[in-house]
Amino acid sequence: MIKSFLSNYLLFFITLFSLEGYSQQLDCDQVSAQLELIKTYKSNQVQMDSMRSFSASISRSNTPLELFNCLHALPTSDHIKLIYFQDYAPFLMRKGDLESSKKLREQGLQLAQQYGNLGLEHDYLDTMTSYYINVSKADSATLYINKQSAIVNANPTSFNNVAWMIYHRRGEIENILGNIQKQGEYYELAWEAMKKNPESDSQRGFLLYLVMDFHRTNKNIERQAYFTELLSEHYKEKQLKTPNLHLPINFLLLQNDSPEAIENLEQIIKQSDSLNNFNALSFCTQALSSALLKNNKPLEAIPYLERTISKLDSANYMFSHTGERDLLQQAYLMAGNYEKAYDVLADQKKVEDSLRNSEVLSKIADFEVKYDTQEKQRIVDQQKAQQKILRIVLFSGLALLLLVSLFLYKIRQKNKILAKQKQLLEVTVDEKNVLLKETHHRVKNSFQIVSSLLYLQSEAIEDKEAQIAIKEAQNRVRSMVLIHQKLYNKDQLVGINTQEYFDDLVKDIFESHQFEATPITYNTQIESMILDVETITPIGLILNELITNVLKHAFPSPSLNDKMELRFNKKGDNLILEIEDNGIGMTDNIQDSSFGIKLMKALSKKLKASIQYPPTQAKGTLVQLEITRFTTLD
Amino acid sequence: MKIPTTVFLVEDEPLITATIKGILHKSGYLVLGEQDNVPDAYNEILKLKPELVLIDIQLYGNLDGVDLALLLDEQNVPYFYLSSLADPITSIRIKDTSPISFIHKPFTVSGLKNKIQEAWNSYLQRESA
Repeated sequence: MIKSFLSNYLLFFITLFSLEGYSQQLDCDQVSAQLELIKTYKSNQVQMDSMRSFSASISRSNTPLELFNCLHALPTSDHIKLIYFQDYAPFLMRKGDLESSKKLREQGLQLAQQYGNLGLEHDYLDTMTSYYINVSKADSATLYINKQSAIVNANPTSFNNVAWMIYHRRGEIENILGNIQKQGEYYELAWEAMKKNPESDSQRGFLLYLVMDFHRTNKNIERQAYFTELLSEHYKEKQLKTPNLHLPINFLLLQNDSPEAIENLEQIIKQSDSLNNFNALSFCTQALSSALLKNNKPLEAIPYLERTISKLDSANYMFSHTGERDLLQQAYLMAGNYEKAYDVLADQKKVEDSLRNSEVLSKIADFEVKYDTQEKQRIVDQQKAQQKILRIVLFSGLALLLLVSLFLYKIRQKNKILAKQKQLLEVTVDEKNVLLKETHHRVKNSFQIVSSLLYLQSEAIEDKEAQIAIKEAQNRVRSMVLIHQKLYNKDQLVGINTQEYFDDLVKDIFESHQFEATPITYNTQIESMILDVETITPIGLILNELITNVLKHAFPSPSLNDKMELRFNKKGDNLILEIEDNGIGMTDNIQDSSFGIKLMKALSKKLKASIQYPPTQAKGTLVQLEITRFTTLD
Repeated sequence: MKIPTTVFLVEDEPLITATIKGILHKSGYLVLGEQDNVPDAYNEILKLKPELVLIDIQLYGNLDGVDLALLLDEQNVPYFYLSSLADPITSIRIKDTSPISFIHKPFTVSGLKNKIQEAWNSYLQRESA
């Protein structure tokens, strides 16, 4: 799809460039060949685009009318006709074939309407308007300018750039009707419309000149000066040496009536006459005559004027019908031929009357009323549409507001529920915390009572062995008492710091031990970590047994060198607890049956721990506890 | 011979009271009296004028150890707290009182002995300084 589209455009550009080459020497065969080439393009739009530039090339050629005639004789589809009719019709008109020109315009308009292309419809309406202005039929011109205007008003954005044309045409129609003041008003409006739209730059010089010339003709010095200024500014910007088309020729000639210029103009008139270029003929004749009259040569001007008038009359081309007659009348007056002057005046009156009879005027009035009604209807429709949009916007705004408030209401409800739930949760959490504190308090108190019971009993017993047994029980409870003394909350989990606990426990055991004379010194190397109660309780109990063993058995004859060391650290995934002393060392036969050993074995199971006695370098004992099951809380 | 320091005990658990009395006696303190509620304890303290008071926070009756501590602060009687209680509200109330030390329950024999000794000695040093 895209590929074919691109190739189409490539061909189109090739056509464009090839056209530039032979635009000056086209003949009928080439026109036919070019048309066949254009027909090969798949897209209608591309065909139309290439036709447009081809049609322009024909217009620029030496024999445009002949070439258009050739083209017209060939079979073409409607969309191609639509393009070249626009250029073809004016040529027919310029050569005096008004009927054919009109027919092409009408056919083009019909095709454009069928085609549904508003832009082309507008353009053909404009050619119709232009046609009727050229033949000075103000009523028909008004009919078409109204239709044209309706399209522009209905689509203000897309027809922005041609809005000025409407006013320009209306100005021309008023000129036909002789309403000079209204013509001026329309011209000014045309300029106002164009000013708003920088796109219409190519037509700017034309319109500015037109308005300026109008004011000059009507001796409105102030407005003329204003537009002269704008025009000079425009040409200065454009850096163009000569203004567009025929009107500025007239302008330049009247500015400079030197003999050379007059001679040059006479030649152009001759050529225009022979080529039936009516526009040029009319304007040049007027310009030349004005110059001749100014130089007091009325007799030289008369033949030109009479020739042009008869020529234009025979072609029924009445674009500047009054201009030539005005000048002719002046010429006869200057020449003193009053009879002829009167005849011209009478003739002029007759022509003007035919253009401005009451029938035509009433027709125009009818059209105007019809147009006004249409315009009013259009404005009413527009207002209705706007009101509808306003209602829709208002309604949607209201709906949106409702929706938003509903949403906000729901959010508020939800927040209320959440707040309530949060409150409930907070209460629950508070209750749980209070309960936990209370439980801790009771557990601690119970330990205190157990501990007190054992203490009081040990104080009361006389029997030595029983006393020792109670004392040992008391010591074992102590390791648990110390745990509960240090119990604290950490993120709602209960844990014990190893360093604090082991230091306290060792200190307590050593202090409660009754040393003979020289106390045993001890040293600790404890890695600080938080362990849960389930883990620390058996460790504490084992540690109590181990230290008690050291104190009881390692040093039977105490000396100052007696030392014990406690080490606790993490090694890989396991915890290692080591107790080392420099005492007498272990006897070979460990009393497996002793309660302390049994207790340690039982507690080790809970920790999935092994108790080992690795050999030491020096004398003494090393006990190593490797714990594999534990829970840390850091 | 050193004159023993006089102590008054405020504790509502008889077993613990007996234990503390035993330990204090062995450590060379003279226990002047004991009570399990604030009004009686306060009256006796004013009467007996002990050098040191040990106060459990949870006591028999509506008033607790902190209430007594506030009264003792007014009388400039030095005291220890001896408790396992640490709920948030009590913790905040405790901040308004000026105990010599806080001994946590459960305590061990040597732990209690040392703690009282240390705190009392440092208090005496502070006072004499």
